Amino acid sequence: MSQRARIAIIVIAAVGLVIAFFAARGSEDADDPPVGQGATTPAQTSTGRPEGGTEAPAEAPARTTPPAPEIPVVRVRAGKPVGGVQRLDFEEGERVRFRVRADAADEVHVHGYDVTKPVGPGRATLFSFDGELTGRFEVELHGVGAEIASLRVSP
Amino acid sequence: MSRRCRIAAAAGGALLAAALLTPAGASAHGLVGRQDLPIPRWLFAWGAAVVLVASFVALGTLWAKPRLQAVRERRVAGLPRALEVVLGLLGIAAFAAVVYAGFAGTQTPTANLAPTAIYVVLWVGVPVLSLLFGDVFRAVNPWRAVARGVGWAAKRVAGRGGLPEPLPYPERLGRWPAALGLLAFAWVELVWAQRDDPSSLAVLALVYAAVQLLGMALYGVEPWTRRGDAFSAYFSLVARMSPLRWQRRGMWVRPVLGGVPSLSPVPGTVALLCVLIGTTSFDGLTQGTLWNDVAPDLQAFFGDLGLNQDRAIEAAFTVGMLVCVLGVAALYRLGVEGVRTVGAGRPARELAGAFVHSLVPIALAYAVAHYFSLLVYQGQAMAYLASDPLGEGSDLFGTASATIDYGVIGANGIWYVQVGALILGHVAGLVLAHDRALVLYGEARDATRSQLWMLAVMIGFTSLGLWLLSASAQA
Repeated sequence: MSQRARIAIIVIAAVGLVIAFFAARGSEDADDPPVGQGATTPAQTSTGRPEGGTEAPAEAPARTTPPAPEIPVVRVRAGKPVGGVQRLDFEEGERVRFRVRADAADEVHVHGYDVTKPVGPGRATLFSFDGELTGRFEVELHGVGAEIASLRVSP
Repeated sequence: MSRRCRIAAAAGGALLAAALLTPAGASAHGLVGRQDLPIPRWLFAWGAAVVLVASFVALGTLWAKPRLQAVRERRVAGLPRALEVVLGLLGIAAFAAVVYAGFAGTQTPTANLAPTAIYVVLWVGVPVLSLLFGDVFRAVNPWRAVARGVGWAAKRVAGRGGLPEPLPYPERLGRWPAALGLLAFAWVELVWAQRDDPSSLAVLALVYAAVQLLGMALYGVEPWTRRGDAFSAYFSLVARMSPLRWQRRGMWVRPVLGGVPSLSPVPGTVALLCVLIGTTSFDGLTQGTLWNDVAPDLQAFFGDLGLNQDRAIEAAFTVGMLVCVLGVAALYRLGVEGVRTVGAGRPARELAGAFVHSLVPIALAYAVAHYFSLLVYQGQAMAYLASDPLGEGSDLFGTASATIDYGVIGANGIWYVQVGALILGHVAGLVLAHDRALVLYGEARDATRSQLWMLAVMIGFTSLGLWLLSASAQA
């Protein structure tokens, strides 16, 4: 085989793979479900003492799409998440929202985003921040040092 | 047992399994604030396709004459002797700082210098540096520096001929001490319940240094460092891929990968590489559903034998890790048996040694694919840890208030690095194996036929690596 034929084979293979890469990536993006727009008002549902959990949204949410999915709740009993470590899935750029209900006073720390808030009995603490970092982040009950949920923000 | 009963009473059996698993699963790296998302299926499929296409293109287009077996090295610069002494002293100082921080500092893993220095800088950072700049660890190796210092002083005191010669390094020992050392390190990092505990790590660091000093005292500094010291053996293996080589007080350049074929396949070399690939695979496996399905049964089994919860988890993880190492060894052996069927049947032992160097880039690719994000994110912690090594509020360099920026690279970037590392490692492994086959078989046709077997093994390794990182394994 001549040197030229070898180079041709390598070039054809490389071009084919590059095309395959963009084709595969494009089709995957098309399959993605539309990103939910954070369209609920967070303060209403927080019963009990509001100072523990309310946080004004950074900007007025656009009410263009159907109402956003229900805000997931992580329940903690005796220092353990009820039902095991829950997955909280969000897309990059989406507003990350979830609540924590705990049967004892403690602090919950979202790793990576470094958001820490007190939680305790009789209230549901709302966590709400922009999902600008992608990856898998531990949501930790600080006093116990246990993971109560796994936050996943995918690109 | 009462603890278990309480949990079971509170939440039932399903929760029990999760509760048992969670600590081990979640804190595979207790240092990590951010873990990687699994590679999406399309990227996994695409990566596997690249591996296949690259392999067959390589078979058709690679050279017909060996090119890497005897590379020419060129000296480009000289180095003063004083540099050796300075770097050695720096290494000793860094080692002392890590051990001191481990004992005297706060015992919170993320606020103490020791865990990050050992698991991130030493274990992940140094191999990456070695790939780029050659065997940098040799220059700063604290044990070697101490031993050389002591040797130099003893010679001055005793005079020429006053010191006994070191024992000849036993040929049969080969790289076995290093392979066992790496297995022990992997056990500490992936299995041990106290893996992040700074003072325990400091104790182990001292024990490790003592063993190395003993080895060097018995067999001489250089022979032991080359084959007995686990870290030196691993890092020098990676450094063989680097275009830079430091020897005879000079900096030499050579083609990339040029140093790998000269790896002497002494006993234990195959074991060393199988340990590296197998333990990294196990670390990936523990993130996945397959392991999380099996582990509770294993833990229950060891729990029934009378082990408490921590010990049962450790026992289950030990078994898993050993199975992974043996599985990798079996896969390699399968390829060797296949190669044997080609041409004049050579002994398996000889062939296993002849091709083992082609696993070096694969081992590094596995390490990069698994630990790149750890290096990028947790590596930033060195900024504040260097200023506040004990975690007690000091600010030596004015960087104590630095934080980790998780925005430097996103999940997409990490995925491409992971897939890219595995593919590059795969291609490098193929190139090395092909070059060796040409020497062994002389004839290009036989070489290509023998290569089909090694090719299959390497596709197996790379696909395994991709699968471990992918959504298919992690769900």
